[in-house]
Amino acid sequence: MSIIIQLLFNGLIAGAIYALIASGFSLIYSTNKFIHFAHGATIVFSAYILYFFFTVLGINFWFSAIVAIAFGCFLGYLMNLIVYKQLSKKNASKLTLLIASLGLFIFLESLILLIFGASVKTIGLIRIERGIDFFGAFITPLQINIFFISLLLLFFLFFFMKKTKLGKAMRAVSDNKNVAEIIGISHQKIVAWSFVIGSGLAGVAGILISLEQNLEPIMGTNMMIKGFTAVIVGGIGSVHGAILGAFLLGLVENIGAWFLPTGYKDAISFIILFGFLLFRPQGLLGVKRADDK
Amino acid sequence: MILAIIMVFLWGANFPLEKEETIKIGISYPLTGFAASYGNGGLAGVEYAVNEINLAGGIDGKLIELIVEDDQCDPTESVRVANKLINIDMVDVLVGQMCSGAAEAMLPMVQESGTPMILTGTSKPELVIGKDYVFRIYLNDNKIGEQTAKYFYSEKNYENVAIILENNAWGVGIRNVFVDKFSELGGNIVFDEAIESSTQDMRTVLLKLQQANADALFFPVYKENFLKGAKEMIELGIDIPVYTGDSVYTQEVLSSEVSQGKRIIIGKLNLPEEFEQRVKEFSNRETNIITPMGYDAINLFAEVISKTGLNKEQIKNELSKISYEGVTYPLIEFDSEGDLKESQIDVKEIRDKTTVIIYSN
Repeated sequence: MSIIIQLLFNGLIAGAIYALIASGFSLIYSTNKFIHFAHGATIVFSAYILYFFFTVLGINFWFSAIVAIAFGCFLGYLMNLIVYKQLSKKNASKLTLLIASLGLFIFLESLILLIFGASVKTIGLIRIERGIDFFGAFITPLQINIFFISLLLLFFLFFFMKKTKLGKAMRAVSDNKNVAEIIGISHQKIVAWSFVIGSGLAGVAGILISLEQNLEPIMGTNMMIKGFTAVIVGGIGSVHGAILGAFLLGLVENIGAWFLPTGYKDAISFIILFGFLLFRPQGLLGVKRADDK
Repeated sequence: MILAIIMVFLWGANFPLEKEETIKIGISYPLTGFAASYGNGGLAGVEYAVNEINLAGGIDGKLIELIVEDDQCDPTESVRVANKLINIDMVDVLVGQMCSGAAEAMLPMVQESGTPMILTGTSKPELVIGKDYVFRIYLNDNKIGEQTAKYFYSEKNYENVAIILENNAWGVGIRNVFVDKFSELGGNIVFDEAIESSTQDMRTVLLKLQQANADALFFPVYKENFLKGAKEMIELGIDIPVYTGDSVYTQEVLSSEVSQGKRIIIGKLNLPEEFEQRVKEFSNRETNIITPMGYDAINLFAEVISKTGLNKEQIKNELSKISYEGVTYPLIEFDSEGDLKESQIDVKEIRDKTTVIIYSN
């Protein structure tokens, strides 16, 4: 019994982390319709900013966390302004934007390596202790927090997209940017806002992940693979679908790794990815459109 | 007129050809990517040694010129690096390599070109076999795996041992030797799984470990996975003796609270505090277990070249019979394959952010 509960916990913890990654990633995709791979680097960079302010300079944690989120927002805004917006002005194809995002990702990863070095960094805010015992299974207070924060994000994003003016405008641009422009919604402004909010979510993700895991400059690559898979599973363009997909991915990976050798854990996520791409490309909550070919 | 200007320019440009002759040492380390911290550690030792030698006037009046390339621990990059260093830069000797896969791709070119090379951090036993220009100042997997198995069975009386290894040439190599020897001695391997270097968490593999009821865990992984695993073991309440390899012997691991009480099985080598301090004062790069090897490799070549000059065959012959008192090992000598004769291990326990030797053979 305790094994089943522990496997569920393991899956939910992993899923919550994937959800933090996938939510911002999906939000940016919804208005831009290209895969912003550099989102992974934004998460890692924000985490390193927290490390710099909190661990290196010894500044108050909450202040450092706000700086890290603000940095994430600014970095996202800057990437859109300097790279994507300029390329879009030149009618760059989605493939060009995708390659640009990969270039940005590698550039930012190298920049982190250059500034902070290759050694593993630890935030050191929380003392590592045995988790709380639930019928023989263990979970730490931080992991419980990460789980509930990712659920909160789900509700926040649902509310934001459905009820706020900006969220509705984002949905309008996501549905059809030309029609949105006709009714007076500035496509460029909405794109910029989606980068700011999505990258702010990356900042939140960076903070929570850095508390749970150690920091390495190259950790963004794996995050993006998992985030991307979660988005595909949940339904590309559907923000709350991405969060649902993340939890499903975390659970399937961890339960699968119990029955298979652990080395297959990443393979499980790729099998899920290919399975959805082949048999349900619109994902769990996405809508199949006529132009989805 | 134009022709005259060009001729004057070319004539002027010829002056630098009269520059001083140097001894070119090619360096192949991973300076970016997952193994960057090890490569930078090695380079810190290399640069420190070169600085010392050049400040003292070089080798027979010739200064050492370092040509540093980033092989990223990637076989394709390693071949590119070998090609550049050997055929374009025409280096006299080579130092470096951290990963067995990358070294495997590079070393045939090194051997074919007849360029002497000292490996400072790659442990696959087969790498040096049949390559008389390649030497290694790092204990190979056979020696570490065998000695660990003997220590577990004969000294600690462990009968049931679990293994979680890094899924790469190093992890698999050391695991294979350990499993063969431990089983031959009469021990049981009750759990045996490999993890990827990119693994996000290890909770499920640790859950399986918990169910295996092992007496001890042999955990040959890189420092990133070691820190993840050690943290999650505490969180999951797993409390068995954990032994890892020398790959984790870095300041960030020693100073981490999750590492305390864990044990490192390491070739009997030194990283004297006073030496490390001197390197840190000189270099901004981090220092680790590879740093003194980089330092020793340069000094080994300096000693040999001062006797033989830059004749590569003579350098190779002189290296094969050298007895050198290094920083890393009290005595560096090579066997007929170019591997270290040394095969002793230390078992060190991490305590109070440093290590204490708890066993020496």
